[in-house]
This record gives sequence, C-alpha cells and structure tokens, in this order.
Amino acid sequence: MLCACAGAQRAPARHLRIAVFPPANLSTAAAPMKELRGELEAALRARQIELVERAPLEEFLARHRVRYSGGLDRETAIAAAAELGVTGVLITSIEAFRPSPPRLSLTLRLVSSGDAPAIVWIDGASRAGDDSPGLFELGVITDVAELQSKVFSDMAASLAAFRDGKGPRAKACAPAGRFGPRNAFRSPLLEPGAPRKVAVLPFLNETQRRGAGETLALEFVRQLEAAGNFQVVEPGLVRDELLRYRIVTEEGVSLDTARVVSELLRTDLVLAGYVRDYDDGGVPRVDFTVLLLDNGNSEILWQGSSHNRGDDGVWFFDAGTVGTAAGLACRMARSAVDGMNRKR
Amino acid sequence: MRSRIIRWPAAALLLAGCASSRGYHDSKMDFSSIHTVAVLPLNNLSRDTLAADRVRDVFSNLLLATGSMYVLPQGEVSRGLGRAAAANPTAPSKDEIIALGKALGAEALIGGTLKEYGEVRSGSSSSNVISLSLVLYETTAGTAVWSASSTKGGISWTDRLFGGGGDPLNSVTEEACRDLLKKLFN
Repeated sequence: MLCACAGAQRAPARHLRIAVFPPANLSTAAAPMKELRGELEAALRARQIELVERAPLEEFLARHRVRYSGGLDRETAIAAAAELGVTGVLITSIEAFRPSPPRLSLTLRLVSSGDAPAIVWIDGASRAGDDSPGLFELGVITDVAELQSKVFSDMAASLAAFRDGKGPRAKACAPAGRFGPRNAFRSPLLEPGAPRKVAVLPFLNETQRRGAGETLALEFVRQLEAAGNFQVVEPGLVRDELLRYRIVTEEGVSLDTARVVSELLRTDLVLAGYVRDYDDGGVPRVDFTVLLLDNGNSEILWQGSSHNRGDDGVWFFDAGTVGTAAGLACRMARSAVDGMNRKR
Repeated sequence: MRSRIIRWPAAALLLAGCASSRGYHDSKMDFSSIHTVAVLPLNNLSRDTLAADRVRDVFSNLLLATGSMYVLPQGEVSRGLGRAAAANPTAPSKDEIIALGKALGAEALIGGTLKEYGEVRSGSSSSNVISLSLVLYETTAGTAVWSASSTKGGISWTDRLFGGGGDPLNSVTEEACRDLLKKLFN
C-alpha cells in the first residue's frame, strides 16, 4: 500500500526533449530492432513528445562510438546534453520477442542527460497474444504488429502522462501474494521505508538463457523505483564503473565488491542476486535469489529466494495465469521489494 | 507363545530401521558460540551439474532465515576459498578449514554431499527425490562437530496407485533442508 502510494506521486508538467537510443536486445530471438524502434518513435510522436531526429542521433552515436545502448554512462550523458540539446535519453530493453504466437516484453526508461544521469521515468510491459482470450477467443491477438502497436501506444501514453504531471515516474507491477519469496531473511538493521540509494548489479546468470541476469536486474530497478523510498543508480553508470575498475562478479558478489561498488557510486546499498531459471516457453518459470547488502557494515540486510510458475495459484480455466516470464519476474520482484519495505 | 516373543523385537528392529537418524552432535561443542557461518560448495554426485548450487542456495537462505546464524554471501565464500587456496573446496582439509575460518571471519563452515537429485522412476511411476548430507566444521580446531543426512521425496504408494509426478523438486529440496536444520538445532 505504502509502495503504491509512493509510486503514484504527482509532479508539475515538464518539458521533455528525448533521444531514443537503439533498443538493446536481451531476448533470445532475433527481433526486428529497426522496426521496433521506428514504431516506438512513431508512438511517442503521436503523443507530442519531442524527439531528436534519427540522422543527428546516428551521427552522435558514431562520433562517440556508443556501442552499448542498454544504459547511459556519464560521458555520453554529458555529450548528449551539450551536442543534442536533450533533457533525457530513452533506453529500451527488449526482454522477449516472438512473432508467432506473438509475444513482446520490454522495459523503457528515461535517463536524464548532463553531469549526473539519473532515472527520471521507468515503465515496462509484457504481453502475449493470448493473455486475454475472452469469450470465444475473440480477444486473442495473432498479429505481432497489432501487439507491438498496443504495447508501444501504452508506453507512450505512460511517458506522456508523466510529462504532463498526471502519471507516476515508475509503475509497480500488480501485487500478488502467490508470487512472494519462498523464504526470506530480514536484518533488524533494515529500516522499512527509509530513503536509501541503491546500486543494482546484474544478476549472476546460471540459466541457459542469454540476458536473464540483466533482465531480472532491470525488473528490480523498476520495482525499487516504484517503491518510492529507493533511489536507484542508472544501470549504465553501474556497468561503466564495473568495466572501468575491472570488477568481476563471476561467482557472486563478495563483500569487498559490494563495498567498492558502493564507494564508487556513493550508494547506501547494493542489490545483487542469482538467476537459476528463466524460461519463457510454455508455462513461464522464474527462479532467483536476491541479496541486499549494506555499505555501512557490509552485511546482508535482506535475502530472499523466489521460484514460481506462471500458473501458480491457478485453479479454474487458466484465470490469473501469467503468460510471460517477464510478467512473472515483474510480479516476483514486486513481492520481494515489498518484503524489503515491510515491517518485521 | 515363543514365536510371539521373537516377533515383537523383530518388529521393533524394523521400525527402528525406518526412523530417521538425528545424525552426529559433538556433545562438547557449544553451538551457541557460532555466529557466522560459511556454506561451502557441495560435492555433487547427482546427474544435474547445477543441482549442488541450487541446493546450497536453498540451504543457505533457510539457515539465514532462522536468524540464529549469519550466513556469508556465496561470493564472499568464493573469495575466501581463493584466498585460502583450498585445493578441493567441497572437501577441505583440517588446515584449510582453519585457514578458511580466518580468511572469512567465520566460526564454522558447512560442507556436504548431494547424493541424489532429480527424477526417479519405478515402472510407470515417477517422482522427484533428493538425498543430502551435511557436515559442520568448527574453525578453531578444524574438526567436524555435527553431521546429518536427509532424503526426501521419492515414489509414494499414492504415486504408484494413482500416478502423478510427486512434489516439485524445489519443494522437496526445501523439505530436506528444513529437516537438516531441525536436526542441527534440536
């Protein structure tokens, strides 16, 4: 409840001029990235959101040799503000794509340009064509273009609402107790609801699925932002520092690593974890462990393990089934973040 | 009359064989002095290469959730193993246990063997099973002070009669880990 209220903060209308970076493909399939990007831009323009033209943006990306478009580092953010005159950069992460039967999961975040890049707005969607079949399956979407159009339109509407001061800066997933952690530890030192700055490290991927670690980390970024009391460091900055200082978390995050990351990014907390299952085929399955480490005393403040299937708690006619792994991970991450913010 | 006298002890022996063992507890060890513990990688004898990591994670999390011991993060344990240069992290020597304890600042280490993990079949029936044994070493002398094993899951008579695949593997794993924790704290 507290989280929902915090996520629904209203602000005055703001001016946005945005550069839409090429989407990063975290899905296992080859997605039509140019087409998706074009459709996203069209949906944003339809909502009167001012965008930088494609030609100067491509020239900027080539000039600064920006090859990674899944995050924004400080140098690129400064250059984008100075050279493109943008207030923010829109980062798109495609988490799942399948043309038939259609499925699309993505996370969008607007990161401020300039000296201190920060997440300004974040939202995501995960839709499968058969999510809401309705009576006689009249609600089934079989055309991927139709599904894309719906998803991008929803995302553009969410960003436009935020711009106009009518929408939240981060939307939490629907709460669902059935997707809560199976077991969790909570330190008495973790104060529920206290404002804390947190760096989210990519999860250690122990699955066969490419990009599962980054995808799950992104879900946590979104849910932590939506909780209201956490200020999450832009993942592009985290990646940049990890690369710059050659910090490797191959076998999981150690206390030293957490301390170094915390010092570099000036955060109170570090969130890390392991993904053990992230399966989008048939009934989706997700299995992860998440740790929240404190910079002050280098101890675990919260740790929880979650494993669920999309049909957990479903008894009649598939009502309440979650059809995508991203949708399931989103609900599980929301429950975990709620657990971090809950009183003992 | 004589056959009845023989039958009763035989039945008692049979029942004793079915009862789960409490394992080994060092009677001289003060378990309340253990505040920080590191769970080492488990020796994996199952066919699933990732099974040991899964089971280790579930056990660590459940142990931490009891609130009676602080369990070091797995990444920290890996760092300690590297620093102590343990030749075989799943079966450390006495000297390595002492060195690891110092490197990690842990009063105890938990290691063990995952003997079975996955699906078992018998005729047309199938079910999930786990068999796990754990050992707790205290790090001042490098000796084992507790050890126990647990086997959960398997094909029950209802599975044989009515079919069904038994409980999910994650639930069976949690059940075995809870059983071991019960044996540790009782």
